[in-house]
Amino acid sequence: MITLRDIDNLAELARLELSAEEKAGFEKDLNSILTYVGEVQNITAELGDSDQPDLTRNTMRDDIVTIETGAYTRSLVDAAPTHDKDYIKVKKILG
Amino acid sequence: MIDLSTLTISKARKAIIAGEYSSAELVDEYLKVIKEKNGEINAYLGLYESALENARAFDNLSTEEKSKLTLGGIPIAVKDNILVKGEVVSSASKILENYLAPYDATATRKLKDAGAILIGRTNMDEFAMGGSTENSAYGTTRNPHDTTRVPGGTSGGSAAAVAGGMALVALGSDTGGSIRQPSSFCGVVGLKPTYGAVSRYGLMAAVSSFDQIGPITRSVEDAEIIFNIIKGKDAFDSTSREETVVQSRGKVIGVPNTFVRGGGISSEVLKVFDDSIEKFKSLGYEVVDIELPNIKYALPAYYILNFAEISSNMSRYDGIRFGTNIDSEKLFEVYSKSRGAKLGKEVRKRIMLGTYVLSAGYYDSYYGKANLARGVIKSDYEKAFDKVDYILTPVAPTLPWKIGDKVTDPLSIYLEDIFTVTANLTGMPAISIPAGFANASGTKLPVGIQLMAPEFAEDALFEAGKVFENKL
Repeated sequence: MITLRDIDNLAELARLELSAEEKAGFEKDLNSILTYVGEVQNITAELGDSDQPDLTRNTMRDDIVTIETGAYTRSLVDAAPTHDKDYIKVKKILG
Repeated sequence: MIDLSTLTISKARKAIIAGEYSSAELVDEYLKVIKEKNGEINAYLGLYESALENARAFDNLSTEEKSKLTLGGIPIAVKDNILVKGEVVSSASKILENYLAPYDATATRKLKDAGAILIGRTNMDEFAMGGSTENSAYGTTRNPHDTTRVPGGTSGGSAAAVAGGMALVALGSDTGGSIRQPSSFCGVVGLKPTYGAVSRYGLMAAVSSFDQIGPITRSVEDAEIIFNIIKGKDAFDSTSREETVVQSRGKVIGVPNTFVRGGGISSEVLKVFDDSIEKFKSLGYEVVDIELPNIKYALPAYYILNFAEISSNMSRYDGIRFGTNIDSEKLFEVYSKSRGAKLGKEVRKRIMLGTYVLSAGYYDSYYGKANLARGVIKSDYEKAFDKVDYILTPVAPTLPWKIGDKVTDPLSIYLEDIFTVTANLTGMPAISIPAGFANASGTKLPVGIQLMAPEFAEDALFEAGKVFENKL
């Protein structure tokens, strides 16, 4: 069971500010959804060696630069909510 | 007047090359319909202002140049999570309001290179989370067949645009059914290609191990034309690959009866499904029963993996690099206030769930088990495909529901994905094809069927799909 304290903790980890009302709603929804998806814990089948899903494979490419330096600088910097010349402005990170 | 109601890509292309009408005239026809209908349907979030100009530029080409372009002058709509350089692309989220795409997605670049005219961006569930387009931050899309009902989702705007005569073709993206289910709800064709068949470069990532871009069209042939243009290996997406083996398929269709008839499916949907089985039989297909022993774990496993990957993919929307933010004194609060206020409820809920299932104490029992289930289910499907050439199921267990009906019961929307998620879990291609209509309080609502085939057997889906479509 997820408690309101867990919700606070998860919201902090996920960098989400939630209202008190929303936290209560999430407590209910998350518990109901986790109960449903928790069904997967009952799986008894085991994967045989030949059944291993082929989800990963190496994809190599030549180690060469394919775009012109600075081609995207302007559009990427402009996309940031606060920026100055060629820099994205952020708050002070270290106290 | 151009008759849009029977138009296909090949008809439009012939007419344009023959000079019966120009691309600009065709685009203008669609813009007129959009102007007339979009206020109610809300299929488009925005139109690309350059569309008419691009159509005129195409019209100025020589006949020879025009006939070299497979999609010469054809108007296409694009889901709002696929990048078109210089245009707003928001994933129907407030956090990306007014965000401009810095480059073209590979899929949109390929369409442009083939001569297509991109006309606008279509509505969706925010960041492709939902199943009804009700999770858009810019209002729900309405089903053109009954505007009190949902068009499905998450590519609901694309499906509604095609069904409502507001686009000839649209691109969508499919993470757990997001192309196929709205196509079924709106009575159009939708293809979820094999994982890796189409590059996702320039598609905003929702669930990276499931996402695929695919076409939503009025005919199977049109879906095939679009797929053949956008597919292929791309240096910008390392998961994309080329399959050179030709997948020749026979005429045996497997139906997982225990799964399909195990309850939870509406009688109207089941009737159209049963009629479709009879149609396939009359077309010379053999229909056999198959077992998928671990299928009951498909939906739970799908959602665990969905939450996990979403919580990771959404971390880039931090109020620093993209779109809009809420300023504050402390860096932490810039993150938490921006994300709290500008990401929709469903997005925040899934981020929370993903954070939970990936946390140290629960990782093995949720994420680990879900990955195991994914492998076992993929193996079940591979074994089934040793015996059959296709697997046939409904697309969704219910008819399009009334807008607002499921808002208070979020789990019930997740259950709508029961038949579609397996194609994403296994990476296999699946197509949704209109199969008939059902009556719901006096209105005729479309119902689709889903054909699935092994990896890179899209051609087989088109073949069987065309045969079935002609029988309707």
